[in-house]
Amino acid sequence: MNIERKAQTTKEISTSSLPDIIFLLLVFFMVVTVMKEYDAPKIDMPYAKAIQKLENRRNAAFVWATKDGFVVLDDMQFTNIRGPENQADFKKTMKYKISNNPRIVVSLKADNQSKMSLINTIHTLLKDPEVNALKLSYSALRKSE
Amino acid sequence: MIKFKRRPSVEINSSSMADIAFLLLIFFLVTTTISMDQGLEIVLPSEGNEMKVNPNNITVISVNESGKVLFNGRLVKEKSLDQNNLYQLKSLVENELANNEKMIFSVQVTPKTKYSDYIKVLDYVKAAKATKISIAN
Repeated sequence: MNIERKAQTTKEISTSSLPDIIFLLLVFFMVVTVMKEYDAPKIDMPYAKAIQKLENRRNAAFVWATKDGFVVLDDMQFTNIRGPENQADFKKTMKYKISNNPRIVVSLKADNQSKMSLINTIHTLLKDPEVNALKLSYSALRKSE
Repeated sequence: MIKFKRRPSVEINSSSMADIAFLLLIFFLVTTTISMDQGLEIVLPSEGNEMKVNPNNITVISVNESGKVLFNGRLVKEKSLDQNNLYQLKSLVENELANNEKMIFSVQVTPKTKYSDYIKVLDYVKAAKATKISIAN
């Protein structure tokens, strides 16, 4: 009597390339990650339709304007942006940023309830010949139809 | 008789490499936030670069503190901006642009105008494909 034997083939999936795949993913995430440097104040952002994406986060300077009139530039908080001391500090910081990277776009994250007098003060500071940060983006969320 | 010495393997055990890579991968996955920064882009005029413009090429859009919009002095809509229907403003801007390509839209606000109202008006002007927008304090 003939006993038929099935050919014994291994059924396992080869995992030898797994570390390579993981490393590739790891390198991707390492390149993409930009570490958060500071905590942002809480703001209620406006919605808009005609918005464009910021080209690169590395070429952006973030300015927050809260409804209470506080202005935050990166990790510096300005409690009275209309005061000469705060204005000088703001200009100095922004000037330093622009001199390091002339392609900087200022992303203004202002609260819905903030008043235009505050926004105009920020405009004036950015337009100052010493600073000359003219590319501005009013940060907004995409409005669905 | 020749005796062969058994050589101990000198390779570093790399079986834990995948685990280390996994751990790092998970760390970066958790810390990564995909950038969603987007907004209405404008270019501010540099100081001292004021130029004279033909008054026929300027359309003034004013926004007051209660959110009412005036288009060349005419009230755009009785409803406030909260209603989100400023389609009339968009069509007015489009009409002006069709009549005159060089038209500059000057958005004027009062110090007490809400930022959200200003952004809504700017959004509709930009949505109507206006490129020359001026911001007056």
